[in-house]
Amino acid sequence: MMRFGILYLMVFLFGLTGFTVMISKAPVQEELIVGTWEETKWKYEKNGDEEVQTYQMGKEDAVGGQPYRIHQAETWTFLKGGKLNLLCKGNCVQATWSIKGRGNILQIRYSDNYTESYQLTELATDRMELNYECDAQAKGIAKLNFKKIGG
Amino acid sequence: MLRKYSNSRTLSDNIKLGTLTAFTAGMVNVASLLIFFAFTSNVTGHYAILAAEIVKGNVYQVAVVFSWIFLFFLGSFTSNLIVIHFNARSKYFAHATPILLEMICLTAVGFYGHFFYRETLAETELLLSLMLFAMGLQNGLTASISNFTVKTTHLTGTTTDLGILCAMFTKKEFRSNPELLGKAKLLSAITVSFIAGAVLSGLIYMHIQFRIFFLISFCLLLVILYDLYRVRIMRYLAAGRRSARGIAMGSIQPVAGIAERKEQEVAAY
Repeated sequence: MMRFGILYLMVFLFGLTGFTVMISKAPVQEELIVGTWEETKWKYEKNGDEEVQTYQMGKEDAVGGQPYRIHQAETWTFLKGGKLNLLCKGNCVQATWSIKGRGNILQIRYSDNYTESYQLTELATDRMELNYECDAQAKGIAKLNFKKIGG
Repeated sequence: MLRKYSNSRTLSDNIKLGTLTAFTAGMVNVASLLIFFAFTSNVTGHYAILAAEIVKGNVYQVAVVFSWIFLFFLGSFTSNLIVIHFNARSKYFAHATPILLEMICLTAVGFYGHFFYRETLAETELLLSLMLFAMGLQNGLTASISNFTVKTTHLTGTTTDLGILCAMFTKKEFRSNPELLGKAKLLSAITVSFIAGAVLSGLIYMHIQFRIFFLISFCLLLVILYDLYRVRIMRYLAAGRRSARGIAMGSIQPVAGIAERKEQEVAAY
């Protein structure tokens, strides 16, 4: 019994150490995303490989019958503390941002409580790729690429 | 629901336990999906995600998903540890403690979410971890005390077994088998209950937000109180029988019968 207890404890401590090392070494999405991002490409993906590039859609269009808003050709400024400024043709829209799930979902909430969810497909120091989520299991309805232009 | 162990459990015991716990698991799963964008009542998908994140080299995600899987495992481990070590002292205590721990975890999620949650990633991971641990506790308990018959936090095995049973029922000899019919009833009850919990959670989450976890904890409290109530009633009845017999028979010792055996069972609770 004692031997098993020690063995279990060792396995647990080994796992805990591995977890701590991995978490401390890994880049934190909430820090990486802070800064100003310029939208460089906007793709509408109908199927996995079929793409209609720079698909022009209004602010309240529909995909698959679901009304949604997609912002394009904008500058997105993510501030610390969850504030987000969206700049489009001189107009600034304020919203809040948060990262959910395992760090793979970007949620944006507007002042009227409308929320958008994007799959955070890629987030590096200089580039970001978002996929608009219209369903929990769906991916890739709209793909947005960004490059970082400011810290 | 919680007083009996393994093969001494009846179909009715398993259906009651399965229905109530599957209902809460369905609620937890949908609530976690809507609030945190992650499933918490099952880990099959997380294994696939873990493999995908390892391939992509996303260290943070690998660590997080691994910790979720581990916490579900730890919940099941803790649950069974309590059951096997305290079963001899009191079955009710041994079986109710994991549910009590689950209630504490889910109430903590509701309380923190309602009053303090600022939507940071660290908070999200911590609350998801608590929910996965709670679901591990629940699944470990139900499976352990029902001799692996009742598993309520995911429906993969349940759906598979229902498919097998439905295929078996195409033959008359299986249709008339009461054991198989009982199993089909149990699995159907678990499935319907899980879906009902999930739908209800989806409907009311928008209105009550994190307070949904208080509702889930209340359902779990019912599971605990149901048996506590029955234990107290049985003790009361047994005491009444003892005193009545004492008056009627004086010092004559009766031959051990059904009533005595029942009293011994009550004492074991």
